[in-house]
Amino acid sequence: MAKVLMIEDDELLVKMYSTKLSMEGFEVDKVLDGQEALEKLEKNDYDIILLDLMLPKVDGFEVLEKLRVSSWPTAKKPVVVFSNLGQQTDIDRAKKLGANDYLVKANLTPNEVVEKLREQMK
Amino acid sequence: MDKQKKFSKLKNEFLDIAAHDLRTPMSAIKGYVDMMLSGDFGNVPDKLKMPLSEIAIASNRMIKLINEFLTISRIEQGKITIISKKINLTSMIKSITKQMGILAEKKNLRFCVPKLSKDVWVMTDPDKIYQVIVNLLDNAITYTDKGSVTLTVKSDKNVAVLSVSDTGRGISEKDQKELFNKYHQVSKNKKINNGKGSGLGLGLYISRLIIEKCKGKIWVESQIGKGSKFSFTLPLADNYRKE
Ligand SMILES: Nc1ncnc2c1ncn2[C@@H]1O[C@H](COP(=O)(O)OP(=O)(O)OP(=O)(O)O)[C@@H](O)[C@H]1O
Ligand SMILES: [Mg+2]
Repeated sequence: MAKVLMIEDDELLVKMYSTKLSMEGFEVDKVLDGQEALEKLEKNDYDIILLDLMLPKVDGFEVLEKLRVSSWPTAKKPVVVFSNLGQQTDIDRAKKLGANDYLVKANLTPNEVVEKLREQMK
Repeated sequence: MDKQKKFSKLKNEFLDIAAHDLRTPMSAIKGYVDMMLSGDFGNVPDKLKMPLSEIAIASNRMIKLINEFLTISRIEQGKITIISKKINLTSMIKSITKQMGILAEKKNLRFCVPKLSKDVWVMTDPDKIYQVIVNLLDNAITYTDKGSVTLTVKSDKNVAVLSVSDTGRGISEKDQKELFNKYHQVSKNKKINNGKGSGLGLGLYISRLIIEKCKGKIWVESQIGKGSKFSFTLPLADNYRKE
């Protein structure tokens, strides 16, 4: 079973996406802020990470940056950035920091999000 | 800063925040409806299919409006950054065709995309241009009741020309002049527009702002009752380098 870490601070969306991902056979672990995310990432292994950019405490860019230079189990695993913004500057910045894909939440349905995650895990 | 400017800055900031805080709950509504319709919560009783589809359409329409407001406020604040990448228009069109073909099919319109003999490379901002092409196709499909919608690309000396033509109701000469302005909707069509679940008259305004930022031109040729043809140009990649 593929293990995913969802880093997202909006509980409405956490609930929706974790429901969908569990239905699709993912094992879902979730955290609500960047600080918690870093703690989880340090100790656990995941197949893929879903990362929101606007997060309390430590933002998504910083989480991504720290992860990629770390020697943690997930340092090289695919990270799909998940944001409300969709501004090109953010997309470029996230990609430069090592994001594998960039999704704008409102533009995609949960089905499409699952599809994008599977694409990255191929 | 004069009063007018201050006000417009405040308005844009407000729009930015509103759009941001509206999009999250909207994505939840859109998401759950989509999951229901695709059977994630069990079989959908026939009686519920219609209302659920209507919720899906309504939430998509709202997201579209929020996105338009957000784009406009960014462009007007000068916050939008246009990037310039070498892009193969032909392959971009392929992915759009897939997405928009479904809409045309729903209205029983023929959707024609003549095969290109060679690739057309342009220098442009792919996301923004994608949005413009979607806007034009969305209009052509919305304002055409029968016949076809055609998407063509050609290169002409220094520029690539992309056109979307339809066999719809057409646009009067007077309206053609105003079409690319903010909030302009053809007055006679307003009622029909609203009935069709269309927006606010922002699509073409946004498209013009984007195309101008991408060093292109956008225009329309149309005859009432016969149909319309919207076209825009973009600099070809080869010429761009020489500039
Ligand atoms: N292909 C077309 N055929 C006929 N009329 C058109 C066509 N495209 C646009 N129009 C007219 O021009 C108006 C402005 O179009 P525009 O795309 O800017 O706004 P809209 O479609 O009304 O709303 P939205 O903001 O959702 O795009 C439309 O309301 C419609 O009356
Ligand atoms: Mg439109």
